[in-house]
Amino acid sequence: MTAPTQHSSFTVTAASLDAMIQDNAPDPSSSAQEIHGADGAVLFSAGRAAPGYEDIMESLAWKQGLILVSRTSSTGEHLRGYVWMSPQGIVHTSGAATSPTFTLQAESGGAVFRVLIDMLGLQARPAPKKGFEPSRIEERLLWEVVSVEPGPQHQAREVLASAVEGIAPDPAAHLRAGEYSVVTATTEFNGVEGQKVGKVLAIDTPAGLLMHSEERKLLRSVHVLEPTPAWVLLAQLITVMPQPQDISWWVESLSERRRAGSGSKGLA
Amino acid sequence: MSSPNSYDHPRSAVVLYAPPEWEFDDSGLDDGLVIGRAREPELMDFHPNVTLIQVPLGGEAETPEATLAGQQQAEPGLQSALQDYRLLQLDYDEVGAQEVPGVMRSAAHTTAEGVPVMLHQWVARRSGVEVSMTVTFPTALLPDWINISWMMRSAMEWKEDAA
Repeated sequence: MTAPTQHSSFTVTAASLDAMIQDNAPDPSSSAQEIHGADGAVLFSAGRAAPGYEDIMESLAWKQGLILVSRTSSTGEHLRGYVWMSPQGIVHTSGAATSPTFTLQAESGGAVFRVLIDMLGLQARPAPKKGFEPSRIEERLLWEVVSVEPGPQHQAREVLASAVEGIAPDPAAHLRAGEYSVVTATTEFNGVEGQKVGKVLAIDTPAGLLMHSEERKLLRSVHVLEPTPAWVLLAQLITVMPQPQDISWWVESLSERRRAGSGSKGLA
Repeated sequence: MSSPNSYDHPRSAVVLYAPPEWEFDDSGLDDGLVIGRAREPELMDFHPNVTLIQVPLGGEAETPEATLAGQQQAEPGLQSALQDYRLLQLDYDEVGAQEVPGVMRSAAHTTAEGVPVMLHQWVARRSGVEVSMTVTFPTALLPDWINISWMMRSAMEWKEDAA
């Protein structure tokens, strides 16, 4: 019997994607889960993948990490993307985020940085000046600046622009003009040293990124924004992603599990 | 004076500094090319490396504006030559111990062997030559390599008598 040709992608509705995330699907140990393609075809049911979808479903079932990327503009456009990381490689969403469907695409693990750069919209922007102190801000402003309510949004823009204009005059002008998006990436994964979570957040303007960070002080934490090149934001994200030793451990665990002939998938 | 982790040659406009245990290959020196490379691979069999290219300017302007314009013109070539090429920065920076006004490029791409890498490149013009120093390393190790490449950029020494 020849193995069916494996599909490297499938397309689901936004509602199906939400259900997959919610139910941690596909889970081979669940008999109740079903995943349907946007065309209605059954791709996974009773713990088994449909013929031709075994590889991509196995990669999803073995996921050891998930990265959620979002990009929200001042005008309320909200884009989101997901990257599942597994010993077999990655599966990531693609396609226009405004469309009602998401395509899940399997790729080699090495593609993860290209995928994240594109999802975050990272690109060359004017280099920030050197030698400045980050500006202190209140964290709530980072949410209010993409509020759908014009009043609070405009107020947050003003406060943030005033806070950073001394160190980042051009990004501050774009903030005032409403020309920006808030980009975030949140990570969670099983690492060699246990469960890890992380997050990066920046305001992207045509004149450059303003990256958020939290500085731990003795008794409290201080939130700051600073102008940052795209490669520094990428580096910040990499520090909260699975490290090479985590991925090696996943791969070893997968091959051990396969040698042991266990039918169950997932590292638990 | 050369120490084991630096490269110098009478025809080179700069002294290049690299991490200890790197080896240099200047068999391409007649074409203005010197390559330094880590002896051991760091990740996915990839050896971090530095490429030094020195080109006579032949009367072209030595201003940072001219340097940046030259690099912007090089972008389409990089985009078509390098798989998954993503430019993350191309703007003014100071280059070398003497802080010669020039340009920094940061870009990600994938090698022919499928390794995701980044290049951090500094380019500046002085005394009739354009020098570019390109450090290439695995993208997964970017947080470490920001510092290492920055040290190489800051240590590179322009020789006063270069011509």
